[in-house]
Amino acid sequence: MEKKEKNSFFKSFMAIRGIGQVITVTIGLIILCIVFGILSPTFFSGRNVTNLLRQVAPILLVGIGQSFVLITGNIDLSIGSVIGMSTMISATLMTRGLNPWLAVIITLAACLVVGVVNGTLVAKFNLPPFIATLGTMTVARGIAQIVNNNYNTDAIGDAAQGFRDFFYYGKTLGIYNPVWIAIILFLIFNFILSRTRTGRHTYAVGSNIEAAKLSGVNVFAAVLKVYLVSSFCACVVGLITCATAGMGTMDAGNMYEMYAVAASVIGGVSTLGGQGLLFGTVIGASIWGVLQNGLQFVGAPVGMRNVVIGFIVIVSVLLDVIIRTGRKPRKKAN
Amino acid sequence: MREEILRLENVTRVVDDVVLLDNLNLHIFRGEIMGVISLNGYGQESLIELISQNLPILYGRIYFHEELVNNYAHSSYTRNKVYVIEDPTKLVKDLSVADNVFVLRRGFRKYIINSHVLNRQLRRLMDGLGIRIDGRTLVEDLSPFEKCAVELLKAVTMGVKLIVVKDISNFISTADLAKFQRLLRHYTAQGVSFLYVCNHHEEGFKICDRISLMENGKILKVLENSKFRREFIKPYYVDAFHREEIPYKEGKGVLRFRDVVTDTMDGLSFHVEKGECVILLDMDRTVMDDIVRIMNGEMSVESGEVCVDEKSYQVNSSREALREGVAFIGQYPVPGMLFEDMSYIENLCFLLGEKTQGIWSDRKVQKSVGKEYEPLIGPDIHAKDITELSLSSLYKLVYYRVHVYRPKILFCVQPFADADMPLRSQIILLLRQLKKKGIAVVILATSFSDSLMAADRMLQVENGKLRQEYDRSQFYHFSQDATVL
Repeated sequence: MEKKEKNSFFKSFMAIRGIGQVITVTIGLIILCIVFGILSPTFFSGRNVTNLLRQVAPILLVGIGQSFVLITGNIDLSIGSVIGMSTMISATLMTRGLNPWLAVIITLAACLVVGVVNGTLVAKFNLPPFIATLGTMTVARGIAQIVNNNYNTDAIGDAAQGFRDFFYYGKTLGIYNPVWIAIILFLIFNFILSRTRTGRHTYAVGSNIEAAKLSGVNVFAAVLKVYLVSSFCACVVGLITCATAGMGTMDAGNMYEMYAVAASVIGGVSTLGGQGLLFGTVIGASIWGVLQNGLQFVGAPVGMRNVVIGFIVIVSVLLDVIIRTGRKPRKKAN
Repeated sequence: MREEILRLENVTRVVDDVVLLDNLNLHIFRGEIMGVISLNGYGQESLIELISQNLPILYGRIYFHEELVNNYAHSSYTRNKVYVIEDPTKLVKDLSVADNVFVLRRGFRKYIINSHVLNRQLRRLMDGLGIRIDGRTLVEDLSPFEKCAVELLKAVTMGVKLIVVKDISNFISTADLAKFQRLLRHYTAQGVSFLYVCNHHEEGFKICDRISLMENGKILKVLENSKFRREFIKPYYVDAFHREEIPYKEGKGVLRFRDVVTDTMDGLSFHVEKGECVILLDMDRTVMDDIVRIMNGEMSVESGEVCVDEKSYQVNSSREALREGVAFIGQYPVPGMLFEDMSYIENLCFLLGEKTQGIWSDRKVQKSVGKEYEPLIGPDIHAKDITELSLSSLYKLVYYRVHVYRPKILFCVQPFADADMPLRSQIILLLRQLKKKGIAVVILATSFSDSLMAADRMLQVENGKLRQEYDRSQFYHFSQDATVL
């Protein structure tokens, strides 16, 4: 009986769409860690591991947002600029004496507006997501520059120390707060994606938008929600960036949209929509972090790191396309 | 008195000055299967569209559940509780069966999803139907029959009282069709009504309670079940459905499958002679795709051998296949196999480019082909813009393109899918033209219907194996019309 239940659990687990790719990249991550551990003994030191986790947290957060968007078959290129906007708005407000938590709320509202605009342009006006978010990317970066009259801000000051501790420097149970933030948001969004109606609608829109419409799915609401999630995650990363530097920099978040895509696709989220697991994004972000960190330890130049990560992204997408276009129909049972 | 589910009263629908439905009358009662056979395909789509949604009509009234939902004075654009089962499926392939049936429907209120509860509910429903599909299975992994069964279940779960089943024999096998029809009967007993749209009367006779014959957007006649006989339908059929014996040369095997094993084939063996037309009836729709993939080089066999002209056949691409004399006509070839930016003659000569060097630079070859084929094709051969041509002309183009190229073997995938009656008779004539030229034709189909009119042999394939072989003299087992009309 127990064996039967175990089999049933294993069967259910293996039946999860995309679990195969997640298992593969998890094995890849373990191999990478072992290789870097052998090449550099300090790789597994406690200090490096905690730093590595803190390094991975922002990538995981933007990866979660991008994964939601990719699962609906869209893309969000404005993530990096929203991070910049979030950093600059929050830092500017804090340097002007506003309560840090009030500044956080205002920043969050401003970033969510970008999500609403993205979702509306894509789902309501049928703009190609690449073009729509390319536009908002430029607008958001422009806002980041305008906020403080084209200057980086001054230091956000001692009054914001609580804010800085909460988002970056503080530790809870020996682990840096950004890691906790990432874990909590991962658990919440993973629950939404895998256990709720919103999650099913997200997958349905990415898999077959016409079928979703005919099944009563509000496509506009579903797409709007994923862009809101993406902007929310980018906003949180912006706040972490602000807390890290203690000031606002206009070019904060540059290239983060690409890191987000990398974390998602390495983790098995399909760029064709309809498939992907947030746990895969965790592994994808970890691979990104381990590669950055490990290659630095073995003395590889920055250019080489980018080449390696770029190569892995291409291979991941290629694998996804091959698997999805070459999948054969199930053999008919006798 | 029987409860009426749908009534269309003198409905005329005009779109862009084209009359799509012309004074159409249709009644469907509770628990009834009403068949619609379109004699020329005209208005069929528009009828389904109008039943599903209350779109503007020029004249008439539409009642749903005895309530006026649409009339010439006001159309609300609202959707009626109607579900259409057709190809492609309306299920979401990346989600599980349980999700598709319960979560993806209007009125599903629960926000947090308990998969175990949904699977349990689904199992209960499936048990009632006598079919076994695990609720956790992804729709993508289902067979065409299972997809249809799930759609049916979904429709019933949604509380739909009228289900349109459109051209189902095009995408499920003959064996599965019988099983599906049993499911329809199960639900009619529960009061669900069906509009069964098909192209062939023999299919409709087996399942429908009444059949409406439709032509040019008008219902010509409604046949009651007691009149489901050939003599009542014969006056409405064109006279092109007659057999013509075209001899082929026996002993000149042009294609041979010898104990071929793949994921879906289990030692499949058959041969096709030069100029012979063979139907490969794929009873459970498993081997068709693999045969095409093997022949166009997308897949190799695990064991066994495929020979063309007694030589082992191994190609890497469809271009190489064409060079080896193997051509294909896919399901729904119009517009799928045509190049809309090319003229008729350029399309016609397209395959020939593989054989004749300089066909695109030397206009003489194109002119010569034009001259040779004008008597067969007519003035359409000079058309510069093929998008303005009729469907019949475009089908001619697809088949004559193969005729011009003259391959050794042509594989036709479900050639009669979606074709109305005149088009079906035309396809039969075109297949005969190819045979006359000595081209071996292999029709890959899940139902034989009109293929028997052109075929010399039928191979019945089941579970990846050749189960039975029938020659022309045995066709009467399957269709009276194939031998009598």
